[in-house]
Amino acid sequence: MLNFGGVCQSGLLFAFFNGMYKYFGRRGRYMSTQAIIAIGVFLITYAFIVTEKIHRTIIAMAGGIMMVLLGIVGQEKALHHIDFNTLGLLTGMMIIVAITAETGLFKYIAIWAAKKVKGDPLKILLVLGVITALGSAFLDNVTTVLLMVPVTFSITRQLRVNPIPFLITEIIASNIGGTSTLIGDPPNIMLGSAVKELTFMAFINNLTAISFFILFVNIGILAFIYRKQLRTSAELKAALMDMDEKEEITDKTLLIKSLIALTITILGFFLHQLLHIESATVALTGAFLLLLLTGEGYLDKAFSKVEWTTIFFFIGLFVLVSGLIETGVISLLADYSVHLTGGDVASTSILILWVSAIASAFIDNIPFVATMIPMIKDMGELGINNLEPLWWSLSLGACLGGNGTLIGASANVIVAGLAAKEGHPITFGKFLLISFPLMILSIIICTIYIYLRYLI
Amino acid sequence: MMKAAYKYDEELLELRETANEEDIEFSITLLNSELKKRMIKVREFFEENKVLTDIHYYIHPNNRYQVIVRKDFYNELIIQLFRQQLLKEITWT
Repeated sequence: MLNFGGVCQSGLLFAFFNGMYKYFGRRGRYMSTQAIIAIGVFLITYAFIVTEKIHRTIIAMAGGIMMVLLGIVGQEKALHHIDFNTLGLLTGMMIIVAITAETGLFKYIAIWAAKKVKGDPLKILLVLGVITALGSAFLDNVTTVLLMVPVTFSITRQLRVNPIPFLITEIIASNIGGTSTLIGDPPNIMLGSAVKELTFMAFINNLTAISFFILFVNIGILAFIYRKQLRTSAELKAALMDMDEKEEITDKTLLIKSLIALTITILGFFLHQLLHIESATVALTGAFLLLLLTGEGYLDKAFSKVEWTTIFFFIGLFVLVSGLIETGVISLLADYSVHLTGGDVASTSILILWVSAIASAFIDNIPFVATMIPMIKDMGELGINNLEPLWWSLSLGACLGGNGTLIGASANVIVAGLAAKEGHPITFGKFLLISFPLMILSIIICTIYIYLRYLI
Repeated sequence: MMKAAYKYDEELLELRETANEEDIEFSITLLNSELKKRMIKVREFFEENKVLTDIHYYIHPNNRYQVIVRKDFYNELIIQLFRQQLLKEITWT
């Protein structure tokens, strides 16, 4: 299916580059041939990524390799641009989750929570939303929804209620929860890795409270919208209340080992700045400590659960963007953006917030953030002294924007795919009607937050 | 389609089957806790495929299992119960 949103975004990107080219041409600053080729490779790659005709990993890697083959960036330089902190963090967390999921812990938590609210579907919608958000704050969003969706189908079938309101709530909660921490969503992982000041605690201090405020607003509205569908009989509630969640724990020894590794890892994230270690070191320490505890029997299974396609997608993107950095295109982009906003921090922040949100609603936020990070860094060199509101605007916009449409984030696509396969299709239009206004409301809240906290 | 009939050892388990509109519900009570491992294996079989709504598996106290199976996975479920020797015999008539 042709991704019209993505095509429009590519067109806008082309128009932006074109405007930038003319702007610098008028000032007698011309781009080198290498820079023009780099933009060409970047735009073609981007267009293929957004049209989703070929797997995004193949395209990103092909684009990155083209940058090297065409001599725009040397192999050594390209390797230096690959952010191994991002890759290590993702790999480490994927290993920990793969092993922990084997224990039945996530099913236990969901059933326990459903029983705590006495099997009331409306309250279950709220608690599953909060659990998804909390899970996404510490785990990858896709992993979280993959853990939540089966248990959601199970609970909704027991209560004989429509699973779609629960699935939509979980999509939205996963994207909001992911916004709240450094490790919650790939854009935040990239930001935390690229900017030393954006530590795990900095994310907690700046984004967690606002993310959970937005979460409660969103879940509250969703509960109101779906309230009439969320009714069941006393008999079905009683059947749910009779479930024995403790029996869901399939391997208690493995559970203890997983909880030890998870606790050390999360503690490590809180302390990584004090300990002077990077977040990837924390995640990989947790992962390999767990593998040490479990033994090599889990090694192959854990490694097979690592999403290597995502890891290589990142590698391709880092090299692709390195072509724009090395040829000076990113500096020119930053210069042009500063010209557009007059270098004013407030208007630049709000512009980044809204452009990131709208762009992320239609295209993958990872390549978008990969391009924006060096651009914002360059803005710092062009005279914008306070970059902090710009970074938080980028994070909030890129992460929450994913809620705008069904194709806005990987978690959305995964849940919609699973739901359709199980006979509960979530159509693009049905999701858009609910999610786009919620996304706009979230970004309005963020605008007020950014303005009040950083700009006055 | 042929209808399946099965037999089980009444000294080992109690089994009740109820047909709903879209699925079939089993209530299985194991009279011997040693059989729990076999029920886990039945569950694992369905968890390994990529279908999320083929069976719903609920564990209740006193070794009682409520299994809701989609009609298109009914035969697969009874075959797996048979494979784990929770059923003694299956015939299709």
